[in-house]
Amino acid sequence: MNGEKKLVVSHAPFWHDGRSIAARNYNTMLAALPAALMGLWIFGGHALGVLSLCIGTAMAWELVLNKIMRRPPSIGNGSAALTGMLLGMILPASAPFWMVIVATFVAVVLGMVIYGGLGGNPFSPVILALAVLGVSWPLMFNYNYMLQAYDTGFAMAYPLAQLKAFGPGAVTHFSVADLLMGKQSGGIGATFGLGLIAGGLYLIVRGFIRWEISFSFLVGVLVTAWLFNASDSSAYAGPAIHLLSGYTLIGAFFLATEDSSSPVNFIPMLIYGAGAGILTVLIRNIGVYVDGVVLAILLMNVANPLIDAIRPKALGKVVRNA
Amino acid sequence: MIRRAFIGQGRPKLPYSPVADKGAGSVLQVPQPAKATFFVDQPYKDRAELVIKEGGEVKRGEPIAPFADFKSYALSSVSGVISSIEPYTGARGQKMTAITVEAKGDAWGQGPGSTPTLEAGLKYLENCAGGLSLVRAANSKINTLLVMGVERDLLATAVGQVVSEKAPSIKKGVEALKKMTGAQKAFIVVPPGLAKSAEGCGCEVKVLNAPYPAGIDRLVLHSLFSVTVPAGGFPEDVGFLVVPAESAAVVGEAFATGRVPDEKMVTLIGKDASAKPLNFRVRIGTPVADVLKIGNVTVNNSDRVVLGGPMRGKAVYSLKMPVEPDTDAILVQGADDLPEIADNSCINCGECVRACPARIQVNMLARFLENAQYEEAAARYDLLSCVECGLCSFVCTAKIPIFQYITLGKHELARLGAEA
Repeated sequence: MNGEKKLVVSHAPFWHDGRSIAARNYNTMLAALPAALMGLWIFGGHALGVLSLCIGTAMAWELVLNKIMRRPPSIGNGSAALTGMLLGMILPASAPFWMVIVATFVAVVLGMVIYGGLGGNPFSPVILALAVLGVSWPLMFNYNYMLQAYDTGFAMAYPLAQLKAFGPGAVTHFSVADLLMGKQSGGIGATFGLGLIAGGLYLIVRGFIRWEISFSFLVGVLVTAWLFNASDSSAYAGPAIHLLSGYTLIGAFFLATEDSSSPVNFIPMLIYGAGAGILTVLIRNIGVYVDGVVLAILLMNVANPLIDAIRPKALGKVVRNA
Repeated sequence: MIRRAFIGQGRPKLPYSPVADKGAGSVLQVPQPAKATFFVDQPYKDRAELVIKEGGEVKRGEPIAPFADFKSYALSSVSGVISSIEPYTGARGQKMTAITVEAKGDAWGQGPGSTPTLEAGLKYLENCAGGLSLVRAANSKINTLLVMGVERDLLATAVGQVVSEKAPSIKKGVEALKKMTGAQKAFIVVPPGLAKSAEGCGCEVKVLNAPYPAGIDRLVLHSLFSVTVPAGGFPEDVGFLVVPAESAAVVGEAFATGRVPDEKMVTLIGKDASAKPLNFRVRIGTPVADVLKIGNVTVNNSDRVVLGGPMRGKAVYSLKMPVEPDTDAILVQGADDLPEIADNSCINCGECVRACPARIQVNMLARFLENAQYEEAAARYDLLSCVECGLCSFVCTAKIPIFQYITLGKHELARLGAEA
């Protein structure tokens, strides 16, 4: 073989269309950026602190775990950063530092790494962390309590808490335009409806999330809320407030669409999304929790493997009947 | 390389290279090689079993069968002397025998005669240019011939070139194959640009106007004939004999002239993506280096040379490797143009599931294959339904070599089956 060229040998295909995990995660962060920036503008320095600590500690936890498990560092692919960012966007601006650290620990370590890392997690890490924190320290997610010190120049009230406590009459002063522009109380990056919708559309157009899930989630919320409202409009608010407050939009575009914990087939995606949307409104309207998005998505995450078993028959598959 | 578009919904759109009737392009001739190498699909275990020897003489178009049972053979493309007989392991672990012939003179050997019979076909035409195989057809009832006038892979135009210039030979070949197999009907599948040429082929013409991988035989049968080949089965099982267009032309010429043509149309795709790939007429068994020399393509260290196209070809480790009967293209990639492969775990983005033309749950299949659960993969996640188009690896966000896992899975499954 003297004088022969040394060639690179590998298996087909010899082309790749260039997509990567890192591009997917950084584009998702880019899409979440408008809503996060709006939160920073409204809440100022505290929000920046919470968001930075979230992203920083999420990446730190993953790096620490990488070292402990003697694995090559995987923080470069942006999944820990994205998890931290989405978590930070839901926490209140006044969240104490220890809560942020616990939240990212639950999300990254208990939500992702112990299942074998990205792709092995049965739940959306952000959703799991929010569920654990929400059950452990419910007051921390009472945005009316947490954010009372802020003077933002508009009516600072958390629509879903008002709705739960005082009925639909208490939320009539929220106009759709206010809700879309973030003139409501809530998580740092969860209030700016227009920004979240724009980010979601960007992700759908680029193909980074599966539109079927977002679409059916929103339709599930819309239809269920409308049915409740139509049955008794004095007890249940209309669909607009359900769609544009709480975690509905960030849930539809950023949380329910988490890759590992959601289905990939067409019909299962519709069932999964619609199921989460319907459960959200059921929990809000007749459950004890103020917002139902977290538990609704968590429940559908559990059901995901079962739902995704509904699949088309493969080419040439022979079905043998007993 | 075709990159993903900015707008990312839907399946990847990979059009076949357009080909047109008449003058699809000029064809260059590669001269007879000094040495030609052929692979026989039978393992070389012991020297004592060989019935041919180094120093033995062979002639053009003659079958060389190294073992007494004549189970498989190679068709020589040169007249000369056997210089070596060695064991060879194929890209997918196939145990084979490699025979090298040193060229001397230009004498033609004995051909199949002029009466088309299945026996003559099995003895003289198995694995002729294009890669025809009649073995399974001999054991099945064939009622339809399916002549494939569409390319096997992207960028190649060799099949189109053959259809546009050899329609009369294809017609003769189809008639011969009908007599040999007892098939009553014959169809030819061509891309839209070749519809006119195909009319001269003596078959009913079916035009396939769809992007890759629609031209793969099983997908053609499914989409144009509503016939589904069972998973793990072959087109012969449902009465179809798939005949590469080039093989049909070879069969036609073989019975008309009594000599089995030993040249192959090959598309050479160089590193410069903007340059138009050229077609070459090459003796089967010619080292890749000879073709690259005529095509003026230089290869450096860390480049990649592929027999076949970018999606389904196989990379070679040496430029001495020969052009094989089913090599429609030679692709050369520069060192800076090689996509990265990674050992990430699947992130379940579902791109492969949407891309798969066989509707396989590739995300689940990959998990089983990564963990060497081959039987489970076949039983529950349709490993054997795979038509081997390579789109799953092409679109994989995590850059997992899924297609390689699938090939490995099929290979291991076959090995387990053989041991049982």
